[in-house]
Amino acid sequence: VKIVQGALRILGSYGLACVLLLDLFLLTLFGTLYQVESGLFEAQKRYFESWFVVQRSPVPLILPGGLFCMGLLAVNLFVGGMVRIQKRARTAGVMIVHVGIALLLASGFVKLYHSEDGHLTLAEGEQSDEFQSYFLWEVAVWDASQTGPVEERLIPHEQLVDLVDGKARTFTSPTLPFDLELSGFLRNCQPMPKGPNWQADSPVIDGYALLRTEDQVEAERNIAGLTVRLRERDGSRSEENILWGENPFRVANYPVTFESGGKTWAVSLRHTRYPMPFTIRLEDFRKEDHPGLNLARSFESDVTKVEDGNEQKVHIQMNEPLRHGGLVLFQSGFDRGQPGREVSIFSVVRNPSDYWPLYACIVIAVGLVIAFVPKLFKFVRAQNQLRAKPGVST
Amino acid sequence: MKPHPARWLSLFLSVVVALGSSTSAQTAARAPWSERTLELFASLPVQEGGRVKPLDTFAQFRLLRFNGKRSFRTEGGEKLVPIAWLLDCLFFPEQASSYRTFLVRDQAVLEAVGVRVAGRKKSDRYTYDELAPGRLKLFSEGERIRAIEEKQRSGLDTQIHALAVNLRDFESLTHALDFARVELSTNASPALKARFGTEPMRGVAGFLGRIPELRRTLEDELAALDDAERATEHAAFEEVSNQLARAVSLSTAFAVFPPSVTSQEEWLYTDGAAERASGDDAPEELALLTGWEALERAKDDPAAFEGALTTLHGRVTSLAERRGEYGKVQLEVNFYRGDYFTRALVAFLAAFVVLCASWLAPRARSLGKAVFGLTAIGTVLVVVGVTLRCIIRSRPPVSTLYETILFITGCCAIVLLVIEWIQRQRIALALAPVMGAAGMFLAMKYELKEATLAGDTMPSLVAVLDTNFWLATHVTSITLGYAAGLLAAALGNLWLIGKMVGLKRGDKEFYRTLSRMTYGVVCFGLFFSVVGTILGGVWANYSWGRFWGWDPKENGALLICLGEIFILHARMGGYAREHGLAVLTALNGLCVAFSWWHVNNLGVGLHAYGKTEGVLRALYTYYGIGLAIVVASFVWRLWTRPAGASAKAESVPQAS
Repeated sequence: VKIVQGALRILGSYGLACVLLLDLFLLTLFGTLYQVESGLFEAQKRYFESWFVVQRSPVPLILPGGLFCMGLLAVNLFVGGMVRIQKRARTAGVMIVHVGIALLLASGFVKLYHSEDGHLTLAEGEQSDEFQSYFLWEVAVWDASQTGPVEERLIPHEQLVDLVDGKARTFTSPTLPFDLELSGFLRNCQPMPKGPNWQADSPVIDGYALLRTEDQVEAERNIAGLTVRLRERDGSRSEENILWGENPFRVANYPVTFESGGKTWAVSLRHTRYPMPFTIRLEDFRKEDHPGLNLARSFESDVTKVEDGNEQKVHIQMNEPLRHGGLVLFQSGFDRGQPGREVSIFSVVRNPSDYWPLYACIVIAVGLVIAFVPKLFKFVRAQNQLRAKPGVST
Repeated sequence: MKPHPARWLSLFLSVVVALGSSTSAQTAARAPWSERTLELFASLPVQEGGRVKPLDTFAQFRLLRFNGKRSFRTEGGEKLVPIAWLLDCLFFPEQASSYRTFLVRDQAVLEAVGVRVAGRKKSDRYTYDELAPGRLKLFSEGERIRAIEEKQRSGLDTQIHALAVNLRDFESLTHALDFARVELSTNASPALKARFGTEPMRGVAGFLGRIPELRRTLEDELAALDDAERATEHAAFEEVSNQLARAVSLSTAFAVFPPSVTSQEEWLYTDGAAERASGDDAPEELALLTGWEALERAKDDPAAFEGALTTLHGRVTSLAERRGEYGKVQLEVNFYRGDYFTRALVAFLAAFVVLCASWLAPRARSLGKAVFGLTAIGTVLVVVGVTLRCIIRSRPPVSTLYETILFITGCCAIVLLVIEWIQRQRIALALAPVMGAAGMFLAMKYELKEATLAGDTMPSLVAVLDTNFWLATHVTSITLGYAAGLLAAALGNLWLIGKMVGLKRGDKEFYRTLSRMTYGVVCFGLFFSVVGTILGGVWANYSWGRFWGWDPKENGALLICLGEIFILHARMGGYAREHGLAVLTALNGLCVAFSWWHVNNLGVGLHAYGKTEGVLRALYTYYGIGLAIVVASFVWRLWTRPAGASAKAESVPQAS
């Protein structure tokens, strides 16, 4: 019991709170500065979604990472700010604030582990019932000789990204007459005609190989690549090829094809796609500038939402998203596209904790008011009494 | 700005302009502009930066950009206000070219373009005539630098580019009325003479007004002529057309022609107005062109000029009113005439002077009241100025960086006056004029940047910011949080410096009160910082689908929240006492500066406004001074602490 009490005392202590707050402060500061050179995505992974951070510059430091720090902070907040705190009327505000912060942290964890986000990019007249990730990749395999709806076999992002330093992984499926061996994942690369002046980062196929390039500061601009070996199950034949990801915004790539079992199979590396429970068709996109300026005053899309055969006209614009079926579609950008056929870009998010931050904000605000306002009144009263004392100069 | 066909042929056009500069040469010195003329001209509307504003605002910020000041004295000793300067540029360009209009901060700029003017300081002002010999070189350098990304430009590059742009814009002003001065050869052929008389026509409006008739009749008339006569007439008409087109294409300084078609949002430059005026159904555009030409003709006769201006003003304003775009023009003129922020600066400085006097005579209570009164006047002026800006823009008080300075200054002054009203210990009163003056001084400095970057301090907003609800809630809260953080930092620094210099030595109650005030302001700041930061996340969630994206601006706000939460926990845990509280709030002030300004200059994220010259230098100076005070306070503490003294001996400041 004493050990538990001691542990609780430490876990709920002001000292631990201060250490963790200082750690989070430093993570935030250095994570912000790190973005200048390496971009948001890398900074996020390195400082805020990690267990530990080893930093060499601008100041050499080893710090508990964002996950560790915020996890322990949640424990500290629960133990110190809700369990061990003296439960009196004057601490009610502080307790409410801690509940709000706990809700905020919870919404962050839910978002981190249970949300999907990406974009839906449509030209006027186009429609889609899926959106695609900005950052995650998948390998898709399908029967290219099929017509109509195509059944795809998918290899997810997490099974691809660790295929580095000679590591390979073989994928088999009872529905496929062949196996795939994937290796040599490159986060950002470029297929180039192999010449004598550069070292290829993949096998040379038909005179072409992948050249690893520096990661982009805007991580969504990275184009991944890897090597695929397609092998007949009986070992009679195998082909090696390179897969290069598609450009995030509409520049189509071409799948690798493989003849097997009397069919032509297509294999493609692409951004992870997520299905939507409805179809969105872009009817019209409009961008309005401030008069005389090349500065957008508004950009907005008229879309048709098709669900179970029912069509509904919806207007989406900045600060006015479409929320439906657990998804939120935001007007996030546009592309001039072909003349007369503009392209609208929607950010799409599936986040179970969508409204939690708003609730947390209300709870925290109420808690802070309850905590601070009585102190303010007490302070004013004390000052008035002080001034009322004879001999006190005002 | 959108590429305008005639207006934005970049610097190349300026070269052409110079070749034709003799057409605008005027030698006569003008009579002083009457008050009525200045008033009418100031309230003429112009569309610039995506909104309709008075010509007075246009003139003020043009002059501020060129000159670094809003008014100056001519060699003859006449003080020129912006609108008078603009009138000179338009109607007496040769005279305006002799004013020392252009501020060059480093003579190396002139050396780079081969201009030498003897007897000038390193940073000085020059006339257009002095700079003109180097203009071709300046423009070609300007073009070269324009191709370089802003981040990569050297300080000298930036200055050369700015001077090239300023010179080009000045030339565009001096040629703005070429369309009214041009002499058209309307007497060069029999057919022209028959229509327009034997004298050449001055100005384009008369010819434009006859174009519909020419379209109807000229073809038949020329068809009746023999080939030689027809060729002569063709050549004569073509020459007139060329003269007209050239003059119109050079007269494109500003969009002062409200379109008569109300559905058209974009106001017309001279070329657009001329195109409309030549149609069958645009008498209003023609009338406006005629009005400007009448002004040009009457410029040597003040009474006639005033009469012509009254007529033009009536036409333009009635058209703008019909379009619903004139409602706030006069208010904006009055706002800038009021010069609230400069007057507030004067009031704060006066309060500071009286404050210093009150330290010499601590028993003179009237001096304390005077400080309070003057600070209150300065504060009211800031509040009135901010309120008028809200009305003019139809926006909440904060939507640009410039406005954050005004708002923070006003809030700090108000909070300090309220604290003083409650405490009456002259601690808050001592800080109020200092923070007020510093804020207004910063606002004046940054206004110059805004004049360069955005044209004025009321720019159009990008689409995502076009929401008064979130500007009123998130932006206002977060700015209040900044204000409180800076105020707490000022109080913390006062504690540290006071201790070090021996202010109120031995008066423990003074420092205890100071700590209580600091703590109270930190609580106040924490409330607004936390609520503002979360509301920002809610807005981001609403607009972009994510509550938190670790964007630098978001992180900056989080740093302030974490800093202030740390301060409260360190204090409650007994880790920070009076000295610790002062140190932490002083350091938190550096966080506020980082969040307020630095993250915008990092060049990444959703709030990156690019490198604003001078801002980073000022920030590093501020960080250096702040850290130096903190370090010095620790040295002082070690130096003065009696041997064996414990930190526990220092009392914990109480919240109430």
